[in-house]
Amino acid sequence: MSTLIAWGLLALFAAGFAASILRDRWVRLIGVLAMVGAATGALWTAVGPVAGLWALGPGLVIAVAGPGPAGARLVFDPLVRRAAVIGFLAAAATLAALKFPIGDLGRPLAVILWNLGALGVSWTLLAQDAQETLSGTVLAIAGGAALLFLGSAPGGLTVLLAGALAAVPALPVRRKMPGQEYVLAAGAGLTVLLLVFGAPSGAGVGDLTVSLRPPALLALAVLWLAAWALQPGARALAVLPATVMLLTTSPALRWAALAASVALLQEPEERDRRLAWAGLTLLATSVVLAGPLDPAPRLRLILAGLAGGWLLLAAGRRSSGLQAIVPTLFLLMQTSSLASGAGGRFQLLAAATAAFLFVLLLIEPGDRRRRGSAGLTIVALATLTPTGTLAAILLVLDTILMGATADGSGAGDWRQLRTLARSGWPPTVAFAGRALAVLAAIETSTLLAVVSLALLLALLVVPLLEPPPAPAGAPAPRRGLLIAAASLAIGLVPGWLGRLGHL
Amino acid sequence: MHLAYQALFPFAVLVGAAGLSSLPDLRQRVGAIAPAATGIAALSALVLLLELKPSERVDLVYLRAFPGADLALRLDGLSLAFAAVLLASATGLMLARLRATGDRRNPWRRWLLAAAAALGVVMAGNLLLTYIALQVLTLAWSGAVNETAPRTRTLRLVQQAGDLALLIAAGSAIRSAGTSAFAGMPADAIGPLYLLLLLVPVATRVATVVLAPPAPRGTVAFVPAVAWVAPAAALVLRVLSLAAGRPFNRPVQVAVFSAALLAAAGLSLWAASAQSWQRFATAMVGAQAAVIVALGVLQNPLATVGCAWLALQLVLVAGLASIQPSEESAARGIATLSLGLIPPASACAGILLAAASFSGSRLLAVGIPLALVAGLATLAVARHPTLPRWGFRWPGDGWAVLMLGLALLPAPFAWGLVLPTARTVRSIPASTVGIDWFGLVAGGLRWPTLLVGIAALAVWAGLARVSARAFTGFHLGLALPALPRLTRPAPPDTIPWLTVTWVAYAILLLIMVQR
Repeated sequence: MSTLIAWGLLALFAAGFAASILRDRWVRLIGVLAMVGAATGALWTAVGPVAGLWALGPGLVIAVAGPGPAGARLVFDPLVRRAAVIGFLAAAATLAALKFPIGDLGRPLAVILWNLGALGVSWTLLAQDAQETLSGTVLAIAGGAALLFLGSAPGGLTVLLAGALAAVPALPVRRKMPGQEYVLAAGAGLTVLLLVFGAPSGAGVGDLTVSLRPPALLALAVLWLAAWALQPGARALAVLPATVMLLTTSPALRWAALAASVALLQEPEERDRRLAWAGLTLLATSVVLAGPLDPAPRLRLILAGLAGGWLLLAAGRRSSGLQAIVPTLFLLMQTSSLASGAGGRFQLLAAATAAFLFVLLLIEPGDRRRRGSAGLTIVALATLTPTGTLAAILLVLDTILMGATADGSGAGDWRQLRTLARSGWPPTVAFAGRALAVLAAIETSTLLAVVSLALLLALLVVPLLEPPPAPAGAPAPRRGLLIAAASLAIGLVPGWLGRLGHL
Repeated sequence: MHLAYQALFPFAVLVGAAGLSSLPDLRQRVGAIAPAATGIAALSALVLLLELKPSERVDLVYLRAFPGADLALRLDGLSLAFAAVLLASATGLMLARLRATGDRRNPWRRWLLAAAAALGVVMAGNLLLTYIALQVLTLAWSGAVNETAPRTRTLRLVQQAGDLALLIAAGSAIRSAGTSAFAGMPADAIGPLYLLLLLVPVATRVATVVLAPPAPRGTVAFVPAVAWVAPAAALVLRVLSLAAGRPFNRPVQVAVFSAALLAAAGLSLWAASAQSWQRFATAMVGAQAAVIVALGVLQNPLATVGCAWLALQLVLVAGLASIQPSEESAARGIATLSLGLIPPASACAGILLAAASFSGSRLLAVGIPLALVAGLATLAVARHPTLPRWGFRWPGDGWAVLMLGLALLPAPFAWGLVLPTARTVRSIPASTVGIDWFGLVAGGLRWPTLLVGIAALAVWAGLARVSARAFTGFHLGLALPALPRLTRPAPPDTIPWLTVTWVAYAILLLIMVQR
């Protein structure tokens, strides 16, 4: 009977798959909903009736969004490219489902979940219209989260939240909300107050538990500060899933939250979008594929996925400040829970990734400083030391500063302050972060020390390689000046920040 | 006043004066405020030095700013003696600037901040803070808040890159001892390699002194003496003090001694062939700095006293050379002689002290190379003779008289500054050196500085009058290359390399998953 149900669900999924890629409007909508239904059935067999809660988010947003406009007929080249990508990813997903079993889930049901995510990713990469982009994003996040929480016997709230996170990128938020800036500033302030006066180490509602440890709260304060300072407009909504990412203790939810944030923050440039989705896919698949492996290769695969995924997410050429910050905070949370035995392996991977960013910095023009800082950040995090964590946070603060003071050179007396804050001289956060990253690397391993020194040296030369800044324009916004002043103050006494985060 | 506040007083005075110099109403009067403030700061450093007991070290921790390194000042003979000499030189240079007519710029704020930053370097209480202070100093002297500013870009980058060696050494100390503080660091916290690395910032600063474009005629160059020579000299002695517990081994000693003396010989030869007096002066300052490093690694009490002597007087000599005294002034003549290594140069006493610590074959091994370098330096001095006219020009001639006094009557300088500095570096037994008003006694040898100095002055005056032309006609034709100008390179063709890099990274990831 169960085999019959499994094959029936697979047939339903295949029909929905075919309908959604071959037709448009209502047929496509029905096809997508059929795929979600089939995936819900597959999940039901693994986690029980709570699977219905997972389907609520994706099903509702896809249904509410409606059938969308009629699709234009594709000419030969895009059609072949689309067919090739969808076919390749579907074949890869099927192969993965057959070769790497997940718990007791039957192979046909695993094929459904893998392919749901794969079709989502292919639509996000090569969408025919906005409707397909939306559906693709929802399916990719929902499918990925479902695969990730299969191994952990999740409760109802976790499953509901995973589905809800998949629905977040589809929310029709087009403009910034009134009073948004005050809310963001208040959120950052409240988190700092929690850090200063102390908070319980964790809290929970039902099966949903959150960590309120000082490093997580510090990362949260940095995130809300970034959203306040960088003024991302309607994209500030990404702060909500990113908050879930920082506080949750469930790996599946953490990934889904990261994916939702990245989806909300994505820049329209195709290369960056592809890199980001490749990174998210690598992060998720490395964990899922590692499940059936022995402990040693499992660890290697997960760590390689973590380093490579972070690189792909952070290496975008035109990534906004917030889009560069969220993956780094994700990496910060992941490395803080790394076992000590994994440290040496991750340090090797971090050194390779930082060396890659060093080469990229030298050969590819544009945004060299951010690449150098990113290289130092992963080196600092790989040290798994409090100094390294503090260095990474300081480098993230530098990214915020660079974004917040990017428009307008300022005028009068404030110009010097702004220029100093954007430089690498003491007492900027950039200087403190770089120096501490090198110190942490020296403290940890020779390889990391060499790579970090090469990056620091390159960062000294970067001003020479980059084009000179534009001449002074309009006065810099007051917020940028405030951030510049705060950055100089923190750069003067970075140890205070470390004590605040109990580092 | 409490010592913690007293130690901050010189900084407060300098930074306060820099703040005043920014006020529009005081911009015209700041020319008087700046030297006065720097002089007061120098006096307060000297008072602090006099308050300390012999060999006393006080560490004042103000703030836990960086993990592994506090915001702390170290008060000891070395830091306070260098602070006093550095600020005295800065005061002299500021006074000279007031008399200079060829420069209309308003340098006071930058000079005051540079002096404060240099003071921070010599008084820093740990290696990491020294690194940070050196970076602040580079920012202060260059004024390049905007890192892309083309002015002095090469010099800035060279110094910043060299200072990374200090960061490495600080990291190594934190790794092995948990701190980079001079107070809590065990003698073996830094290995010999890292100790040598600590000399890299010194080498870059000496190189910038020698290779930097000379200041225009009629102007006063504040930066070389205050921002480059003084911190570098203090850093050499600080490195030696860190090594005092566990000396360099013999091969390292021989290698550093030989390399430094070769550098000194080369720079002396270059000075001998220099066409301008400014080039001669910077080359000879570089040669004396190299001799300091050579004597420093000898590591015996007398050599340490000699090294401290040379280092402290070099700051004053570099300062005197930086005011660019006019051609026929007494200051020019005495500055020329002071840049040499034989009497009446003040450096001579330091070299004699170092040589006196050896006997027999070791004296030959150390003394002959030193004598050769001194000979080359003398040749260089002889190539730039000056016959001063009678007259007194303030402040250059006053400074020159001070230098001459220091060479002829070294006792106050030695008692007040040199011995406290040397005692910080290592323990100096009371019988090591004897100093009285007319000379020095070391290694069983009495050196009557007053008599020898007066005789040497007479000989130089005679030589300059009789055979100056014979020396000046001699031309060596040596020239060091100028520092290359760093320019923005054209972007390379990135497409294939970018792809290759991504593929290489992917392959590396796959390999790391497999193994």
